[in-house]
Amino acid sequence: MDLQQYKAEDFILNDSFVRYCLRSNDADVQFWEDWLERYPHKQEEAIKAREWLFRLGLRITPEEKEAEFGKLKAAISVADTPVKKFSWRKIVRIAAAALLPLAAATWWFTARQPAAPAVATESYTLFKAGDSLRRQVMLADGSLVILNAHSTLKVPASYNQQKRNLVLEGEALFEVAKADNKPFVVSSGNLQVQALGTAFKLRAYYYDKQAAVTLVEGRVRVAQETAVAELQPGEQLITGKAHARFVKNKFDEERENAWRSGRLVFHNASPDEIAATLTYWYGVNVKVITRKNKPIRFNGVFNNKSLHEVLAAVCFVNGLESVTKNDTLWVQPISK
Amino acid sequence: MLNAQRSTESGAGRYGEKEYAGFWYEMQQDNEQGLYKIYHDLYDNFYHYGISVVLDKGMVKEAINDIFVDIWRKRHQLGMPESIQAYLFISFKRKLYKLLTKSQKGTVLADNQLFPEPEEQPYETMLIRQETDSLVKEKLEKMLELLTTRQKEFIRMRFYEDLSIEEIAIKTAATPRTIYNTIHNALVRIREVYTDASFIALLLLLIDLEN
Repeated sequence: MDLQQYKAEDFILNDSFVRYCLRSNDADVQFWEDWLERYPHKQEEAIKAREWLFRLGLRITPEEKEAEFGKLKAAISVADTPVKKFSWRKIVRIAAAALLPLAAATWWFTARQPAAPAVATESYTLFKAGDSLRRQVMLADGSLVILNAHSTLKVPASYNQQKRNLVLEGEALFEVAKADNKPFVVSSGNLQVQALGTAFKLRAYYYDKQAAVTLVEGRVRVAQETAVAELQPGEQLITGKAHARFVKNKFDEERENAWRSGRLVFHNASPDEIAATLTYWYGVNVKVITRKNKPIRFNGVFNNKSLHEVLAAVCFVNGLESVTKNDTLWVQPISK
Repeated sequence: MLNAQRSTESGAGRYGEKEYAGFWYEMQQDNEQGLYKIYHDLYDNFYHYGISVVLDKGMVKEAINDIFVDIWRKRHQLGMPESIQAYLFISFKRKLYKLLTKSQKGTVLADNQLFPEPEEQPYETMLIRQETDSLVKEKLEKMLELLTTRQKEFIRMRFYEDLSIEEIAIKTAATPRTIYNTIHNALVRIREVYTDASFIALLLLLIDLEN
């Protein structure tokens, strides 16, 4: 039967397609990824077939599993504090945001397509966090990446064979699994950060003139052009994106922990503070403009909410609207 | 049996006891990555077993995460189990049993057994019970009644037991073409139910997000 005529019933009865969904055979994965990229109009039926396969097989989908793992991590991070009965329900709600099944299924088809070989012949898997929500990526060696909104992580096919090299655009936190003989290096432009058993964050958005490396625990070595520096926990290194201009300082650990936990808090925030926080949090350039005679103070707490939801709240309370112009998100009084 | 069969094919459970001992040691050194590696390795098997005896997806997921959090909390008190996989599996079964008794408070359980084995349920029951929405459940139940025994059997073998059509042919003495067509016809019915189901799931989620 001609593949072009396939409906969900036919996809699911195709053994190669099943192996692709279960990711049990690399050649099948490669074939269907290419095929679906070439014929995007078949994606809808293919997504359906995949969903049926997981239901009929009583299997858990990779997206659900990722959400469960997120809950486990959250629970582990508070498990060492004094024992209090832990409620999964709360986390269920938070994690639900990451679980929109259609969005997830669509992502599954789009995000895993290997990127076109840009520089070298090596193929990459591309992980993209959407415009307004961060996502977690578990790498083959057990290292965990929290990819901030608006960011892309390139993982070479050879990752974890002899080396662990990654390419980042945007911002991400890396919790590096220990593997002494396999160096873990993240690069962004000419800036390279090498982990020495550790959790660190690298920020290098295309619109930022500067890049920042924030060290949460362990040790990292930062190299750019001819400059090299090592960081201690609690230290942040800021440098130019184009050329090395290393400046070390202490970072705001409270703000960093809040970012890590996904809890965004506005306490009596001014327009400038709102703009700075949203820029920091979601990796988009934000400018807030208000009417002269109408001062704004904003209060609110958001748990793992998307930029759209936060913006909607900020705008609604203050009679503002948001418009995107030239890479910048303008939050401004509603025009008449 | 089923577990072993499927785990090898889906690639889960790729580590042996030796690697597990390494991960366990990492965990006891306060490195949660060790725990996470075990978690990823065992998850599919645990889920598969859990769903076959407990029927409630949420409960199974909760039980799995619970035992891993428990182990993390007790990591300094725990020794190195002789077989880590067996140890975790027994903990998991106990946890399921506990959750199960808690959820069926009204019913009287035979108390002469120290630790009763949860029973594996029929495939149809599992299919229905994994759905969270009552409307979908009802529709699915009706649809399953419309399917012939043969259709259900082939679907179970192909998708749940993960047998190939050729393997099913050997087992049942039907021709591959017949098996293919039988499943295909059944799937057309299933489409009606599942298409609605995913729509409702999405709707519920949106409502949940709004609150």
